[in-house]
Amino acid sequence: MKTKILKPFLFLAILAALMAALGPVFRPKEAEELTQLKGLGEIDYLVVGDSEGWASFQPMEVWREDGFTGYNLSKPGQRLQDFYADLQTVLETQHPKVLLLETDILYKNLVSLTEFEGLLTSSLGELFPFIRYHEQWQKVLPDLSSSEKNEHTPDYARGAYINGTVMPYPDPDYYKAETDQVKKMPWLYRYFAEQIVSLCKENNIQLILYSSPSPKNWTYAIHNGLEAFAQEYDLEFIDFNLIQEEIGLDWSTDCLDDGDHINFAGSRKVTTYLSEYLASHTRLTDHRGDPAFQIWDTDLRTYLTTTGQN
Amino acid sequence: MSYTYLLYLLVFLPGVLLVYAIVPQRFRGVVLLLASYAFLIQLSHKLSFFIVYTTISVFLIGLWLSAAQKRSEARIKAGADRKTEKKANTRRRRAILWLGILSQGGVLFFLKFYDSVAAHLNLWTASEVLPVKNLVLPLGISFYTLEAISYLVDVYYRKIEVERNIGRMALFLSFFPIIMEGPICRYGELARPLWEGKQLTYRNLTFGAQRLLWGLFKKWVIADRLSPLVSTLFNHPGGYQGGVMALAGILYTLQLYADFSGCIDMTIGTGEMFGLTLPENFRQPFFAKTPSEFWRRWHITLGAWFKDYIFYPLSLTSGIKKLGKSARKKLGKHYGQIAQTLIPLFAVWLCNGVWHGTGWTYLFYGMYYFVLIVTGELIEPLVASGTAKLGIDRSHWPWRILQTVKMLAIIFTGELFFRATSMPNGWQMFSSIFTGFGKGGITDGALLTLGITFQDYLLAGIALAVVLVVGVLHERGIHIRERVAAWPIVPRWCFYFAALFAVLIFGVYGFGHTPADLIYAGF
Repeated sequence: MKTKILKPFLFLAILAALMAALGPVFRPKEAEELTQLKGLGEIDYLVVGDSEGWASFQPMEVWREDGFTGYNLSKPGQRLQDFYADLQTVLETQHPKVLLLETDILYKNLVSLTEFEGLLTSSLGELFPFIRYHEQWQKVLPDLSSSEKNEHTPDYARGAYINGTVMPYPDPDYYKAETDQVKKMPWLYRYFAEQIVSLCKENNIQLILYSSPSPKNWTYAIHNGLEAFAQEYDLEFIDFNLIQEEIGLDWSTDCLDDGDHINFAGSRKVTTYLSEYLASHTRLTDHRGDPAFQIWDTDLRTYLTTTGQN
Repeated sequence: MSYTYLLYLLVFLPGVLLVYAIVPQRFRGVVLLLASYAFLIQLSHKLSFFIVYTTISVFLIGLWLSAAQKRSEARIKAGADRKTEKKANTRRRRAILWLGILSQGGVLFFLKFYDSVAAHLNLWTASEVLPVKNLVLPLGISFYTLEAISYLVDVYYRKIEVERNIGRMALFLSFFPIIMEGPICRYGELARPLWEGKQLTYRNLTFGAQRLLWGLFKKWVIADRLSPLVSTLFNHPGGYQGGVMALAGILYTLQLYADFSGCIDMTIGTGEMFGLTLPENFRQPFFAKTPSEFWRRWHITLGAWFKDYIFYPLSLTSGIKKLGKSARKKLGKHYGQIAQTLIPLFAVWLCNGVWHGTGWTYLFYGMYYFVLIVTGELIEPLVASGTAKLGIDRSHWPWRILQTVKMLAIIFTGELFFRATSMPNGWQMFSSIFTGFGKGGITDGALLTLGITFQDYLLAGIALAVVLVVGVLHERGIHIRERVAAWPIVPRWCFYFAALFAVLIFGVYGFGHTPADLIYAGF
């Protein structure tokens, strides 16, 4: 009887030990560097967020204006905990000086089971890196997919979303309903936001929070919550919902989908402001003209042609 | 959260097992009922109301059927004319039964067909005759409605006792491992053992976990790995040469099998953990040699349901019996028998197509098998005499292999249409196999740019070979779990760890992956 009780525990213990042992085996050799960032040279800054970050920031505009190299790592539906793991990986080989964090990712609905699934996946990945990197088995075999695929070609838009669709938002005064109420950041996101703050401090990265204009997702109470968080950790926070007149945002031309995201025209306005901000508030250097960053000029031409700016 | 979520596998299921194990036996049924409703509500939200409606209405109609029978027996005891009373009772009970069937089937039919009918009507009349409401099907309704109807029919025929405990009825209809994709269970076989709350045993837990792992292997390693490729191919019906289109039919069939049978393995494994024997839904379907045999091996519980609740009742109606009698006189025994089964068979395959959904592709799928089965029966005497004249031994392996290959072509073709996004697209894909056949796409490396890598193909191929080997062993009556359980502990545990790591390493799950939907949960 005793053996029957002990056996499952022994089995699970061996399983855990094997999973822990496999972690280093499966951890990708070249790590460590996210594939998107391969071949881009030194990265000055990174942008992260969910679809709001994805649609609101164009790194190529920053290169054109100020010569800073950056990548928009935002993804639709991105979770903060997954980004935190990504950031740890990136920092093994890249040394960005600035991190721009779009804040919509900090106020997700925690009640959703999909969020719990994401949390469980991330936690398991933290506990057993083998789980996170299990797809690395593919690296053992030769990739016959195609010659172009083997040759890494970076995304000319540097991860950003380019969509010029216009679906106007009818209430441009949404941000004027001021309140003193403060919406608390959900505990899970607060925890990971604090982890990111610490990681940035350890790596001497300037963390800047920004909120993309978004009537569908933004409230004054959220703004107050973010401002309180920024003050608590001595972070810079730019809320574009409140300075939309200053950047010239027009909800009849710059809105992608009825107040959820801004479109390409809107993202250029946000990016121009942030580019100037980076130039005046950070210690980034202009790489334009440096032969080591030639790929940026090549991709800028593609970007300008594709976006009809040539 | 569905069965392949880590949340289900690592939190929900172990949590339910733990609570089930620690509560007194008399409350275990309640634990399962609460867990089942929690599972259902998190997936179906407000639409969970429909299962409540089904539970209450079927429970009450069952009681009504039973009460009608009792009253009739009482009247006979009190001296009423037996023959007259029996006739009147049958009429009354049949009316109650039909009310029950329509109250369940009607809801399913309405939810499945309303939008399609409205859209077609509006299109044909070029005006908005009926508004399209974009109705959403409640989770599992296609499965639990059939279970509810079979309960009523079984009560009507007095094959089972009427249920007087609504909790037991509610649990039978909502039991969380079967709610998404079945198997379609029978009340008489499952309701009582389920509510009884059997003791968890070491053997059941370990054997059940192994079966669940096997299902996860099929789902994560094969089905989810092939999924992006299959979607790409079917979303571009005119985009590739015939060779690739033929491959699309084959790959979808394999994906569907791995997905559906994998989910059923997980379901049966979960049932086993709770000490329940759930019915098998698949028995090596690709070894079938005729369409009829295929359907005795593929989605077995659906086929059995149609046989028991549509084919037999229809075959036994006086009209069909008369038809059979006169057909046998005119056409002889063989063709007469075929004539007698034509209408019930047609009804079965019509229902099979319609049950899957409103698309014309599903209707075609049902009719495809109807025509194949009837044709097979019609030409059987010719085939028998032809092979006899040619001296072909039909029990010999070359003939059997030929039959299996023929059947595989039939299965792949059927699934090609079943998965096609529309009938014209299905036809375009099918016809391109003959009109545009070429190796292009297969030999020029284009297949490696359709959403999965060379490594994915290789892995899916190896995993399918494993499924084939296991299928052959099962076909020969070899039960792997029992055999392995008899090994000494070291090789046995090595085997278990190898199986676990095969799933953990090669499965499509975790970081960067959203758990893929279960295909049959959409029906």
